[in-house]
Amino acid sequence: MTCLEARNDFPALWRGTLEPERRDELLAHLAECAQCDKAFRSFALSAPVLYSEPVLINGADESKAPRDWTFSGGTLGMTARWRRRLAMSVAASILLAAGFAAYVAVSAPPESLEDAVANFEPVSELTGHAPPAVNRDVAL
Amino acid sequence: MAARYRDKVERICHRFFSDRELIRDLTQESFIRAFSGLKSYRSELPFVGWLRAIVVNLCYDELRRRRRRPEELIADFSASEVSWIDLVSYATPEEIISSAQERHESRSLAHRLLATLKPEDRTVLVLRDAEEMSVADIAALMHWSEAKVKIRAFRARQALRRVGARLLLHRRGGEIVK
Repeated sequence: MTCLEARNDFPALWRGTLEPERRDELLAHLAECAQCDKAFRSFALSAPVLYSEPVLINGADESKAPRDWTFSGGTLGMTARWRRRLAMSVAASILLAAGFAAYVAVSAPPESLEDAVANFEPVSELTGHAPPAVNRDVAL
Repeated sequence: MAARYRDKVERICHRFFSDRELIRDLTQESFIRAFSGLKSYRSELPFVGWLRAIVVNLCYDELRRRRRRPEELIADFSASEVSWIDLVSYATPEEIISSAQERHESRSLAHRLLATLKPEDRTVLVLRDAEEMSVADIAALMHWSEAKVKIRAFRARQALRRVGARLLLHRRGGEIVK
């Protein structure tokens, strides 16, 4: 491996995208070549910004984000976007459940059969008024 | 639109700045400009490229506003930054790479070094090396020739390595030259 090849591979070494054999070859070169070793250490001072994925403010799992702009999402490492969607779904479900529970609590509970019979007030079909009470003491 | 592209916009801002409040502001401003400039967007062009140009121009303008003399930028290192420089000086490459991901001072120091570059040089470096844009796309975005993009990127890398080497050299000597 030439020094030019070695230095051209610095970004790939940093990002961990080198093939294993190439990586071993580069590391062996750095162990033997003082100039390239010095160049790598100087490279390493700025590499955390230029060649590492940034740590985003919202904590998105940027290590799984593609480097191009065709974001796919839906990875095992849930991104912030998917966490927000999940949170909104959970909140909506809770609201629906709470609303249903409130509706059930406010609605009048159904009467038992005995209560219904005891509370029954007969109404005449013709007049809409309750019929006169029947005198059951009158002998027939 | 904001929900879909927020992470991508923020990622670009992170390449330029470490201040989280500033990144939030720039991210928000990017979407405001995108919304207000939708009339100028031509649908035959990729939307993401158009949005990226807005973000990059905002960051570039902010870099120019914040431009300071280089000697003011490499000063007053924190203890954790000094510790990180020492690790970079003496650890193996594998140890350096694995440690960088865990130590936030690695990023703060990297931002300091990048801040010593001219705004246009830093922008080209971010677009070429960090965002891996093609020379042609960078040239179109910056309204430069492709030759200028290549030359600027090459010089920026050289300048960055010189600053880094100087930092390491003086640290090995037992002090950091401010």
